Amino acid sequence: MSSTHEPLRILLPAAAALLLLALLTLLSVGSRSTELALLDRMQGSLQSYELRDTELTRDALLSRAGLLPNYDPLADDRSAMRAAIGQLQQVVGEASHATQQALQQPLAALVADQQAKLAAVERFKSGNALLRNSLLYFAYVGPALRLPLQQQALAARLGRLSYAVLSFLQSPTREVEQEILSLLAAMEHAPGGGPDLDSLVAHGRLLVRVLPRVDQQLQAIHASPIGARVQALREAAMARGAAEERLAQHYRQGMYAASLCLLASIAWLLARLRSRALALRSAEDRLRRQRMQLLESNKLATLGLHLEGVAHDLRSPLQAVRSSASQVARVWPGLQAAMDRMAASDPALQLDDMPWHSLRPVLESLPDDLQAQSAALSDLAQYLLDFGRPRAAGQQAAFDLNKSIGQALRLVRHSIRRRTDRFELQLAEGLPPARGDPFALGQVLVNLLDNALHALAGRQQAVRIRTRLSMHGGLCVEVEDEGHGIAPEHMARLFEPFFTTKQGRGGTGLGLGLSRAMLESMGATLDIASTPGVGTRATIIMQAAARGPATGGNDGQH
Amino acid sequence: MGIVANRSTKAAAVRRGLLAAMAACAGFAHGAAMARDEHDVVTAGVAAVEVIVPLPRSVPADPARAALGGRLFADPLLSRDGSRSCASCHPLEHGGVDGLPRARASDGRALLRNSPTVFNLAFDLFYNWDGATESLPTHDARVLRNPALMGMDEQELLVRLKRDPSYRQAFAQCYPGGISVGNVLDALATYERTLVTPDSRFDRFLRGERSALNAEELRGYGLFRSLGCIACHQGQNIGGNLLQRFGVFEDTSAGRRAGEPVDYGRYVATGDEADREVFRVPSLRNVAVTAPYFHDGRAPTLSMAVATMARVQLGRNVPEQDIASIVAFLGTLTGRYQGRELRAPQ
Repeated sequence: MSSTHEPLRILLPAAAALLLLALLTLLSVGSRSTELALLDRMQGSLQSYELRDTELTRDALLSRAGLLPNYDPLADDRSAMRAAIGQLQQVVGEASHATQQALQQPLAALVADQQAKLAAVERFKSGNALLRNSLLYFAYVGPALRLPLQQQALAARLGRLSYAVLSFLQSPTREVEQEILSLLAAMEHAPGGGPDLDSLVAHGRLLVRVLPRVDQQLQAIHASPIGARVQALREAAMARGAAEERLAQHYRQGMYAASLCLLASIAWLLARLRSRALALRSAEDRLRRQRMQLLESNKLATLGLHLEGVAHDLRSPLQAVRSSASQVARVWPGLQAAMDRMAASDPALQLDDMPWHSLRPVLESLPDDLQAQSAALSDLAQYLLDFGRPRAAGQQAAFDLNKSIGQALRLVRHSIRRRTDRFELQLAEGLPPARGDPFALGQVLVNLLDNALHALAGRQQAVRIRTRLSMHGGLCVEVEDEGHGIAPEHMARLFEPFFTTKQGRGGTGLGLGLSRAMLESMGATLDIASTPGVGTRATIIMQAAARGPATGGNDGQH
Repeated sequence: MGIVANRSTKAAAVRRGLLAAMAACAGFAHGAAMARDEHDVVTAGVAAVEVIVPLPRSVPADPARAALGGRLFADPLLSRDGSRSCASCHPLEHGGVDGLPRARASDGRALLRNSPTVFNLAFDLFYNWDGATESLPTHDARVLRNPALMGMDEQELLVRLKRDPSYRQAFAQCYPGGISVGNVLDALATYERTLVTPDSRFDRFLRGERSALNAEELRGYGLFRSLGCIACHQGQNIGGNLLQRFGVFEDTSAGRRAGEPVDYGRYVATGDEADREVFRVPSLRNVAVTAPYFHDGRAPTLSMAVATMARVQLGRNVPEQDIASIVAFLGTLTGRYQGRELRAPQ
């Protein structure tokens, strides 16, 4: 994964989630639709308005019938209607442009009709007050006129007038009106009538004039199309409400879809987060392991550094032991002859409580043994010194492969004995000298052997070291074990630095990678083949040196 | 709920009205007896008592806003030249009127109408003599703007009020929006609606205190009803809820003072031919202390006003004695404000 793509892969879904969230908010705001609540309020206002309008009409009718004590109820209705229409106008004013467009015209029509109706109501009230007053006057004055007996004609006219007014109240026809007016004309300024009669005539004329007008106003009030206007407005509001509801429905559907997308993207992000956390944890584990391994290898490196010093320190006393041994060997035949002579003269001659004749064969081989063993020790010290000495990469020399192997094995002799009863060394005879650094090869072998020994499950499992001539003229060293083998999934990582399956058991994970690097620097190769449960074989192919045959093989068994 | 309650009381009123109408019909059938016997009239009047309704003893109002409105009402700051306040033409200690035939214009030239009282305007349906407005804040705004009255520019008013820390504080306490034209008008209207004069002797009579009216006043009440005054002067405010032509039976232009132009009344406001000479029927509450009378203040005394009304509106020539009784009755309509009976301007 390239590092330029990495932030993009995180940012893109995060941006998408943010975008979805914004969309969701937008949709939720849209779906709330204050418009619907507004239209609801409007329907409420319309209802109370219509109720008041109905009451106004009813109160006008009651007033005409004389069944309302005063005009306060009509005034209340009027104020309530004006307040309700004000409320309606305010609600529509708060509404969206679309709603205003839809309701403006029916509302304007309603307002106009209301104005007309309220104006008609005021005229009706004015006329009705006069009408009722004149009727009251007829009721009050008519019968109270004290007419002298000789005014029989006038009295008769008065009677006819009363009945004519009564029937005019029932049905204000043109004929009755004419009759009343002609009666009033005849009574006007009648002798003996007086001011009361004149007032009566005036009220009669007013009555005839006002009554048709009042009833006309009443009819106008009754026929006012406010009910139809309210209905039209209500239907327009309902249509708007339905449209708003549809829109809100769309918003809700959009909201649902956006929620799903958001959920999916969040789930995806969570999954990514989790995988990243896991990767991070394993990386952390690896790092910790590597650090411990580094410490371990550092310890080994320190040890290696001191190894040289120790070997160096060992060499000088060993040199002294060797020269002492050779000195002893030199003087030994003379010493032996002298002792033999003494024993001939004294058969009971004893050394360290042992008789000379039984001590002599034991002592006989002692100087040679001493010399051989001190030489071997000296060799080992020299090998350790060379083994630990820092080398230039790819140091090339011709060397005897088998001999080098034998020397290296001395370092791990004890480990081998501890782990297996079946260590087999099969060294081919007559190999050409190898080219490279024998000590580096020794290191690699120690390493491979160490791995092989650790793979064993028991002492009966074998570890083999084999040398042979390879097919292309190279020299082949095989280290083979019958251990548990390497899991296929680990095969690919064998040569990675710090890769180890011997966690906590002394493995540093540096071995194979370093081994291969060391071999490659001298032109050699290292390959590992393994079958789980059967065993592992490490194969080293060395280049042969150009010329000069080496000495023959070492002893077959170690 | 409010509507339901209102409707039930209204239904009760209708039922009682029906009884009164039946009583009137009975009177019409039997004729003579009713007319001459004031006691009978009064008895009939008890049945129809809801033609006039007593004023409530108190009205609900936000006290802080009302107090602020009261301060504004009396503050000359509301007039452009600072020479007058609302209270200049409507002094509360004198029946809420200035006692002049016509209000004084601030420029001294414009010809205005008689100042109506500010008392009990909460129960009026219309404002002004021509009933041009039905909303109190609208009416107040008109008065404020009218160059002949306060001549105040709204922006200027706001500037003046905001300059005064005590107004700033009072408005901030009463209104979330602080000082604004709408809030000034609301405070004024709130205060003006509290100007109620309950407990007139007649209201006490209506509430059942029969001794509140003496015989003369009772007789006047009977005439008030039987002559037909009550046809227009009815309801809680004894008028104020109706428009009527001034001069039903007679042309009233003769009563105008010489040199004064004709006031066409509501026609000025509506432009409707039918509204010529039409004026608001004023409330008769406190009428005894609000002389002179009519839109142009043409009647200096109450008895002259009653005589004119009887003649031009009712087509009657009412005898002196009856007018005196009616005037006596009208005297019982004077109510009390802040515990004191209203008095006429000096």
